[in-house]
Order: sequence, then C-alpha cells, then structure tokens
Amino acid sequence: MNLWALIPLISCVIFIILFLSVLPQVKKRIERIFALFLFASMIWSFTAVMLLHNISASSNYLIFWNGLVIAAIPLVVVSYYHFIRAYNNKKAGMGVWIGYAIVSVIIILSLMGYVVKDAYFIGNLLYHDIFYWDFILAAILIPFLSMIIMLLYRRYKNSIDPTDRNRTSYLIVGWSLLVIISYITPFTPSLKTLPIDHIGNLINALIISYTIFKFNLLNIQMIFRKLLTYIIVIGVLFALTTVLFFISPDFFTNLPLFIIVIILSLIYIFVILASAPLIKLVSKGVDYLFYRKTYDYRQELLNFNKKMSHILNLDELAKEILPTISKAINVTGASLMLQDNKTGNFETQFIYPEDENTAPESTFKKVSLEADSAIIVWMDKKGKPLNPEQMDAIPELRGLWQSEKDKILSSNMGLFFPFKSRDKLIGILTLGKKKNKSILSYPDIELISNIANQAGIIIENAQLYTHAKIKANTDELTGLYNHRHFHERLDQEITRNTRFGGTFSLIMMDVDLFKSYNDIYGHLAGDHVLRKVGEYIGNSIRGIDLAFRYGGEEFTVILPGTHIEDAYKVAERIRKTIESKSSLKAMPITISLGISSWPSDGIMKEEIIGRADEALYLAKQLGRNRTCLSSDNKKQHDTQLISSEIRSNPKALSIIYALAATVDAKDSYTYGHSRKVSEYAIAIAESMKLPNEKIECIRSAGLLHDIGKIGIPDYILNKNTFLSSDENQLIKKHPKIGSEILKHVIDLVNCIPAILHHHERYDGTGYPSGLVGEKIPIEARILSVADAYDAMVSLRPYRRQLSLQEAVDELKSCSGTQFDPVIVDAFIKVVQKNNADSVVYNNDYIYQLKENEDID
Amino acid sequence: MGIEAELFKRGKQEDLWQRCCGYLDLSIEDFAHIQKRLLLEQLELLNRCELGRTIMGDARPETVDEFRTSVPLTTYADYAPYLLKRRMDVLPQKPILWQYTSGKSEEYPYRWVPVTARQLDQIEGIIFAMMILSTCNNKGEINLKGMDKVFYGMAPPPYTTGTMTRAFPNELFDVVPPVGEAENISFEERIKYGFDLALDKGLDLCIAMSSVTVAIGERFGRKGKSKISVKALVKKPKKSFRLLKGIVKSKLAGRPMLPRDIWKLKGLVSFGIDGSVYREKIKEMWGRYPLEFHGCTEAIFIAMQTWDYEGLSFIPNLNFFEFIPEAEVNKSLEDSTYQPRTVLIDEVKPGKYELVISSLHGGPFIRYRLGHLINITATRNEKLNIDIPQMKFLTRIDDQIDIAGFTRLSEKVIWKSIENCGIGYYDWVACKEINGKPVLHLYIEPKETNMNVREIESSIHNELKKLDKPYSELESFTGLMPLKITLLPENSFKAYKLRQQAIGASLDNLSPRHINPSMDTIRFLLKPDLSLLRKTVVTAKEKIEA
Repeated sequence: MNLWALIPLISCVIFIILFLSVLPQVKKRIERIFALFLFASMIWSFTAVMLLHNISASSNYLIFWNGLVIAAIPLVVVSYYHFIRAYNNKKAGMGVWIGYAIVSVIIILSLMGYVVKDAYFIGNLLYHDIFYWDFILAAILIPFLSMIIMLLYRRYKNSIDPTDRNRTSYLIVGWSLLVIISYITPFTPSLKTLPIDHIGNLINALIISYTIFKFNLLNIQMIFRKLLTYIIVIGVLFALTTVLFFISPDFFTNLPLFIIVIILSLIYIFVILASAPLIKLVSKGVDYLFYRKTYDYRQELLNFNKKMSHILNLDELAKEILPTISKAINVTGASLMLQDNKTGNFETQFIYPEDENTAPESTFKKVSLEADSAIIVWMDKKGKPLNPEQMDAIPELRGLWQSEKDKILSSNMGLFFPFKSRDKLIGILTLGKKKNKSILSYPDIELISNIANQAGIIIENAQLYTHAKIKANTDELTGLYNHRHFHERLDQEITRNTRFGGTFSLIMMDVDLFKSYNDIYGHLAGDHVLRKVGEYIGNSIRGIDLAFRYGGEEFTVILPGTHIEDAYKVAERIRKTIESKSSLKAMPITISLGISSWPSDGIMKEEIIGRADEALYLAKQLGRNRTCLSSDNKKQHDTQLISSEIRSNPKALSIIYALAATVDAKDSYTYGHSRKVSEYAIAIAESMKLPNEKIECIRSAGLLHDIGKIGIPDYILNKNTFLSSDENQLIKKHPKIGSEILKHVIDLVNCIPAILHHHERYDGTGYPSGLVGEKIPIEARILSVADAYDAMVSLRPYRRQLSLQEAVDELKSCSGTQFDPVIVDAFIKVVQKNNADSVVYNNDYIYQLKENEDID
Repeated sequence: MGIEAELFKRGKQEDLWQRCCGYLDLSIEDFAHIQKRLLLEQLELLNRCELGRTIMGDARPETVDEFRTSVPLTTYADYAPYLLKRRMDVLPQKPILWQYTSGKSEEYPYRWVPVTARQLDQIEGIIFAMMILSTCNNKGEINLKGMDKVFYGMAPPPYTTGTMTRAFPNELFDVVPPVGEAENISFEERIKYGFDLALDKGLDLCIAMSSVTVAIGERFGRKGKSKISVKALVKKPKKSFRLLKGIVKSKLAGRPMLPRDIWKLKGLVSFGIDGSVYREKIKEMWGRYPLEFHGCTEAIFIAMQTWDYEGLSFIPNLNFFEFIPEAEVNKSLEDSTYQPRTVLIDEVKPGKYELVISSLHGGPFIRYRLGHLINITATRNEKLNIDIPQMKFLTRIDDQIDIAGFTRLSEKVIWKSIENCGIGYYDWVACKEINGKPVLHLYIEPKETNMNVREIESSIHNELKKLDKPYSELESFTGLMPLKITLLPENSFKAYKLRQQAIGASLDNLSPRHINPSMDTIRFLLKPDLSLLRKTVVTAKEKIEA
C-alpha cells in the first residue's frame, strides 16, 4: 500500500459521506447540482486512490487510471461552476453545457488512451508523460475557474446578509485553495509527482462540510449525523470481526465447516445484538460532538412528551419548556403567546428570561396580535413557522398592519412557531435569535416540531383545565367567584397569614330591598341588577382583592394584607359606585356593607364571617346604604356611623315597593301598571325639567297611585264586564282610601296630593274634589295623563287595546278637558322623541333600559 | 433602496417573485381577508383625521359592514376643499408627495391627490411585479437582469406616471433617457431622446402609454423613409448596426420599418384606458403583446395582466375594492340622490360593474366612485389557476371623456368649444367611441340643415385645442384627430323629450345626459320616433279647435 494514496482516500471518504448525506435530500435544483459536484469530487479522489495505492501495478493500469484522474478534474471544475451558478440563482447557461461537452470528450479520449502517454512509479512516487494538448485542457478550464471566483465574489459583494456573506467567503477560500494548489502541483518539480492537488480537494471538502453545518448551506445536518453514526458503527464492527479473523487465522482453517458456520452465526448474532447499543452510544457521541453545550437540553426536549404529559398548569408548562428550548437551540430567549379568554387576542403570556438586566437587543417585548390578524390566520391555516424577516415575502401577510409589523420587528423575536391542537392554532412559541448570530438550522426547527404536536395538546388540556377550574369557581350570573371558592380562598388566606403573619379584611355586602325590586320588576330585572352590582364590585376593588357572590343578593370581598381602615375605603368606593349608578328613573339600588378583619375579629373562619355579617346587619338596621365595621357592633350603644349619608328614602321606599307589589298582584291585568305609570310620569316630569324632589315624589306616587284599591273588593277589580254605577262609586273611592293609608306613613305624606287628585279632570268634572286647572297639583295632573295612557295601550278584559297613535290621538282630543294641555304636549313630545327606540310606550321598557343603561 | 430592489440585487429570485407576484397565488378568501384587514387599519387612521370625520360624518365604522352601510359613496367634489389646497393637516397620514390629473375644467384644472410613503412602498413592489410579469412566460420566471435598458415613456411628475418614476428602481436599470435629464425636457423631446439612446444602447423593456407606444411605432415607419446621415452612422456604430438591421429586416419583409426590426424586447408595459384598443397594433409593431395594467391618479394601481396577457388580476394591497352592479349604476345615474348597493371582491360575478375604491395605507379616498365601468370577465383565471377575479376596463361613466390617456374632457369644455365656434344648434350629446382608435363622438342637432360636417368638425377641434392643452398635445404627438361629428336629424331632441314624457320620466330626465348617454339614447336620437311629435301636433290642433 502506497501511503500517498491516503490523501485522496481521506478526501474520497469525506466526499462519499457528504454525497450520501445530500442524496436523500435532493429535491431542489441546487441540491441536485451540488450532489453532482460531490460525486465528481468523489470520482476524482477515487481514481487517484486507484492510481496511487499499488506501486507495483502494470503500466497500462496506471495509464488507464491516470487518464481518468485527469478527466475527472474538468468534471469537478464544470460541476462546481454549475453549482455556483445555481447558488447565484442563475440558470445553467450555455457555458455549463459546453463545459460538460468538453468533459465528455476528455473522458472518451482518456478511455481511448489519448490523455496520458505513460505512467510509472519510481519508489512510491508517480511519474507520467502527458500529451501537449493536456496543457490546452488546463487553459480551457481557466475561464471556468475565473467565472466561479467572479460569481462568488459578486455574491459576496452584493450580499447584505452576514450569514450569506460568511457562507460565500468560505466557499471562495475553499475553491481558491483548491485552484491554487491544483495549479501549483503540476508546475512545481518537487511536487508534481505527489498527489498534493488532492490536499486542495480535501481542504475544499472540509470547508464545504463546515459551511454546511455552520451556515446551513444545505439542510443535511441531520442525515449527515445519522450517516456518520452508521459509518462509525459499521467501521467498528467490521474492525472487530476482521481483528478476530486476523488474530487466529489457523483456528478457522483447522475447523470442520459446520463448526465454522456455527461460529460465524454466533459472531453475526453478537454483531446484531451489539449493534443496537453501539448505535445508541455512537449516536450519543456524534450528537454530543455536534451540539456540545446544548446537548443535554436537546435530550431533555426529546423526553418532553414523557415529562410534560401530566402537566395541567400553563405556568408550570412555560417554566419547563421555555428555558429548556432556549438553551437547547441556543437562542437569546423564548416566549409563549396564548389566546386571551376575553379578547380572543394572542398575547405573550410567558417569557424567558424575564431578567430586566438583559441587553436591550436580547430583551423580548410582549406582543399582542388580534385573532383576525394576518399572522394568526396564516399560522392557523398553514401551521408553518414564521421568521419575521420573511413577513414581506408571504403574500397572505400583505394584510398585516404597519403597527403589527413594527411590534413584531421590535420584539427581538427570531421565529414564531405555531402550536396546534386538533388543527386549531392554540399557541405560538416565539424564539429569540441565535446567540452565535447564526441562523436557526433545520435540526433546530425539527427539534421544535417534535415537541410542537405534544405541546399543542398539553396547552389545550391545560387551557381546558384552567377554564374548567375557573368555571367551577365562578358564579355564572355575576362572573365573580362563587360561594365554594370563597370558603376555599378564605381558608387559604387564614392558613397563609397564620404561617407568615399579617392581616386581611373581609367585606360582606347585601343589596338593599332586593326582594321588593324583584317583586316589582320581576326576576329577570333582578338578575340584571345582580350582574351589574357584580360588575361594579369587580371594577371597584384592587388587583389583589378577590370578590365573590356569597349567595342571593349577598357579596363578599377578601382583601389580603389589608387593615380594616383601608378595607373601609374600598367598601365605601364600592358603595358609592353602585349608588352613583342608580337614577331616579327606576327604583334606586343601594348596598349595605359590613367589614371584619383577621385576626382582630377572630382567627377562625366562622368568626370572621360572623363578625362581618353582624356589621352588615347593623348597617341594615341603621337605614341601609352604609358601611359598618365589626367594631361598631361591639360598641353597641356608641355606634360609629361611618357613612354620614343617612337618608330616609330607603326605609320609605321599602314600604312603597311592598305596597305597590301588593296592589299589582291583586289584578293580573294591571300587573306592572303602577310601575309603568311611575315611569311615564317620571319621563313627563323630566321633560318638564321639574326639580329632583318632585320627580322622586312622582315616582313614589306613580307606584302607589292605586294603593287605595286595597280597599276595593277583588270581584270588582277583576270584573270582565262594564261596572254598574254602584261599583263605579266604589272604585271612585280608591284615591281617598289611598290617601288615608298613606297619611300614616310620614315618609310618604308628600305623595298624598298626587294620589288623592290623580282622577281630577282639568275642566273640573273629575273626582274626588272636582278641582279645576292649575288647582290640581301638578304631580296629580302628570299622573292623570300617565295613568290614562297606560290604561289605553294595555290590554283590558272589557275593551280592546289601543294602538300608540290612537292613544296619543285620544290624549290630544281630551287635552284641555280631561288633561292639562301643557302636560299632554310634554308627553307627546316624549313619545315622539322616543318613538325610534320605543322607550316610553313600549311595555318592555324596563328591560330595554336595563340593556342600555345599566341599572338606571 | 427598497426591499424588492435589494432582493433583485442579491439575486434572490424566488423571494422576489413571492414578494412581488406572490399575490397571484392567493385564494379569494385570502385576498378578501387582506382587503378587510387593511381597510380596518385605514379606518383607524380615518377615524382620527379631519378628512375622515368630514366624509364619514357621525359614522365611526369599526367593521367592513358598518363601513359600507354607514359611509356614503363619494366623488372628488367631496375632497376638493382639502385636496385642491393640498392640506396635509387633515389627511389620515402625511403624504410624501402630491400628484395630479386633469380635473374639471374651470372648476379646478387639476385634481390633486396625496401619496403617502407607505403607498409608495407598495407601488415599488407593484412596479417590480409589472416588470417581472411583462418579461416572464411562466410562473416564477424572472428574466430581468441588472442594468437592462428600460425606456420609460410616461408623463413626468406630478402626473401619476411620474410618481411611478419615484418608485422605479432607477439605480438597477439603465433607464433611457435617465430620469433626472428626462424630467427637464418636454415630453416629445424626451421620447425622441430616449429612442435615440435606445438605438445606441439597445432596449430590453419599454414602459409607456399605449398611445405613445403606437405613435412611436408609426414614426418609425415615417423615419424609415428619411435620409440617413453617414456621418452620424460612423460616429455611433452600434446605432448604425441596429438601424441597418432594421432596414434589412423591413426590406426583406417588404414593409416600412417597425420597432421590432430593431429591438427584441424582453417586455412591454402599456398604460392607458385605451390599452386594449391598441393591443394588436402594438403586437404588430413591437413584436409582443403589451402587459396592461389599469390604474388612475386616485387609485394608482388597480389590476394587472399576467403572462397570458388576458384578463387583469386585481391587486390586493393598495386599494379596497367595492363594485356597483350595472343596474345599480343606472339607477344612480337617473337619480343622483340614490345610494347604489355595492358588492365586495369575493362577491362579484361575471358582469359589468362600476369601481369604487377606498385608499389604504393612509391614502385619502373613502368609498370613492372612480367612474370606471369594468367588466368582470371571470371570477378566476382557470388557465393560470389564479383565484382572483379577472377584469377588463370598458369605459368611463362619469361626466368626463378620456382620450388616449392624454386628456379628460368635461361637459363644460365640450360645450364651450361648440359655443365658441358659433354654430346654431338645439342640443348635443358626446361619448367616446372606439373604431381602431379612440375618438370623441359629438352628436349635434343643428338649427340649419345645410351645414358642412367637416367644417364644424375642424372648427370644434380647433376650439378644443385652444381650451384644453392636453387635447392639443395629443394631436401634436400622436397625430390623432380624435373628433367625429354626426349631425342629428331635425327634432331628435324634441322627440326624445316626448318619449321621456310618455314613459313618465321625471323633469330631470326629459333631456339626455350630455356626456356618455346610453347607447339606446344615441340610437333613438339618430333615428327619432317622429310619430310622437305628429301626435302632439294633432292633439294641440284638436285642443285649439275644441
């Protein structure tokens, strides 16, 4: 064996490995052409090995192989030129095909023996005589060589991408060395007998390999790794068996054939058994060689499925996955974008590293993308990762807003990777840029892809679990936490404060007169009020506080780390917010609140709740719409009124609403009549810009105008035919009965004139007093119009329901006789103004109003 | 240098194709989604600016449906108070430049339109797409090379075609004549100089108005007959060689010399509302079909042909498109207060529509009626598997008549020219007709029956030249005399009026529209039903007798 043959041999082995690595990847044109170049280089080295390895070979043998070596050189040059054109996105062009034609001619000539005259060894050095035209051949190759260098240089010069420039510069260096060494060798007497040109080829092979791995020239890293693993394994096993045979050759020759067969079988069984762990071992070694520092993290990621399958918590998932991915891929960081439950937007919810000291260029910025954003739609549809730098090249992303683009580009993110589950985008993993400034390689992407499917399912499960957990702890009506969760959190708070020390407060609150509200407006309206109260509580508390619906119309708030004085401020904020949202149009909504504090009011859960409840009861007793502390209850006689806004309204109103509900309940046809009359009357009063006190009086009077019907027998009220004159006389007594009832209720005394005179007529023919014109109290004149209008537009058993226009016409025709013309005009204006949204005369007024105007 | 230019320079052909022409691979759903998202972005800008608030009134639309239902359709008159004064403070985004087109004579000579930096970025991509598509034969093929010789025969800034020069990657191509020089000389000199240079340097790509492309071709025929200076030929051998080649080729073919005898173009782009009129002529002269695109000052680019040179595919990222079906267009023409219904790009079916655009990327126009009647020839290009509706421009339907892309004549200008020439007439109508070349066809009912049509034609033509400069340039440059007069029979307009009365037309509609009346109207005027007139005379007599 000639040792000089080792140089082309090593070169040949490297090219074989590269060629076999590229071969399964050949999909694109450039990959095919690169494979051709590798094949040509491999042939060049192989022919050189065949030429050099046997110094005692015959002259014809040497001439034959030497001819092929020389013929392989232009093949290498032309195929590399072809590759470099493809690398520069150029078509093959005429030059390439002329080149291949020349190569074909040379191969034919070499096979016919017209390339090398003679070849022989002196020692282990090869000498040959060549034809003169071989020098012409060398000259023909010069334009190709120059074009390669020129194309690479132009690419380098025009490129602004640092990776591309680096990659190109390596190719320039590799090729330049090959060319220089190849041209020096035949023209340098001391070198021309040596295969030095193959050193150039070897260097070029090594540089191309490096470029492939370092700069992703082609995506063959993974195949290369596997191939290398198998070559090493096969090499080791081959060496072992060979050694075995060489150690004791006589042993086999003396044995009978069947024994040899058995031994060989055993050896092969051993080889097969040994190969699996050996493959694993070598694979580990090769991977370690490739990935070094990131190896352990990559292993961790590959075991991701096993490790993460039990995780149902997004926090935990993010804490596990983000640092591991960042380290495994060697990027500046990673973040997880998930869909926000409320807005539906994809938002960065977890980020690694969160360290604020990180350099600005490595700091991730949070990104929020609308569910309808072009990126989200594209990722959902295509399921492909997105490099922000490619955004402009993707046609579907033309709909991206400038602000979205700016946000993404300034976020320092290098790759957006979709996590999908059941074909739906459920999260996006974003990766930073590579720490070594290189680009993400195919194996990097593949590694993430491996975990993406599993991560998608885990995220979806965790989201579903979180959602279910939230649902189990949430009150459906108000969206606040529910009673069960209140107890859980209270227990937790007590445990935490017991262990670490500290304090917390508890607010209990109850909607005032809620039962009456339900009775008057119905349960649907009551539910709406509860929903709104829940919303206002939620909006009035601090971020650390927790609000709950305790049950019915009762709510609680836990205020961690809060003393009772501060809790009082929060409580008052809630109370005032709710009070401010009430208006004169409907029954006002207020709440009463009681506060206790841990540990001053007790250390047991029941004690804290009990003390807050007592304070709440005190607030109710003191007239509602106020906040009381547990300490107020303790002092009993020295009640400290924290809220000074004591008004008699709530007390009076509770009576009014209870009575009104009773009247309405007497007659199924007039159910809701008092409420509607009250609303119409308020609308008139507001349009006439009456003072607030008068409006309040009108509301109460409206609700109670028929209170006197308590004294009318039910059979008259529910009669389906016209009333007799006696019955009429009885009915006419109801204003008086009403005023008699109310005069005993101090809070309602101011409503009596309105109730007593609401059946007076403007021309003086009404009852009970026969007052004329302005002498009838204005509240009564308003009630008269409102009462008549509602009666006309409502269904009665003894007459048909009038249309709105008919009712208005009727009011107009009675203006000046039955009704005050000013009030009729005011009412018609209100009707016309609200005609579009049917506010006044629509029977569903209250519910419409609820949807539009909160709890007003 | 823009991203496209960078990609071109770096030889990233796949990326360049994707970026510029990738929109051709969009599904119609993706196309509509792009439109919707960009419109929502634009609405945010409009809601914040004075122009947006003025045009949209109380409406603050946040969805496409809200936008279409709450915002009225607009015309330039709605924007004129701001745009004519070039007020930047009221716009959705500060413009980077202003461009204009001929406006309504006397009311405003030019329609000024702002262009934002973001619009200009989009335009650069579209110009690259235009160049790529005009030179390719298959999808993904880029035949452009750095320093290709490009002849640019468009009007200078501040015309829209001049704006394109601002977005054109001049540094990557050898533009003849160089833009800097070209903008300082007259249009005619520029064309002449450009082709002189092209004779010397060669020509790969020609981008010019269709009428100019034809006019140049026709001049070649004339030039072929002129004497050639030997001295000049010696001075510029390349030019001489090309000319010689052209002469030989044309002699062998036995016809006057044509541009295709001198240059073998890689691509040809033509612009102008009359593009389809000149299509075959251009092919004959230049050896290849022109790639047509449709656009205007307000919308810049609307649609473009692809390598099959058939229907024009809409461009998704510069304007939001709405389409008024033809029946609705007619209703709105009859009743100016009528708000016609529109359909969106993913709702159009083959048929005729008027185009309505809303500018994107901070542009000013909101539901703007371009006055362009187009034909949706297909909802997709089956041959090339392009899932974008295909369009062809038909005509202008507003009160203007565009001739060869040079001029837009308004009712006032035409009326004034008739008045100025002093002929006696009852009434007139005008429309554009194409019979090998675009002409302004005037139908006049004269008071005297023995008038000479040629004399009237010449007289009105001269008046138009006086009143409208672009009209006069059209003749001097292209040699076109784009006016045709037809004298209508006596009582044509009276008979029309009676017919309208008989069908119960409103007072506004008793007389036909002066500009672009329907073909039915023209047909009636040419052959009026005079029996109606006789009936009226008889009825009047009866009344008198009674």
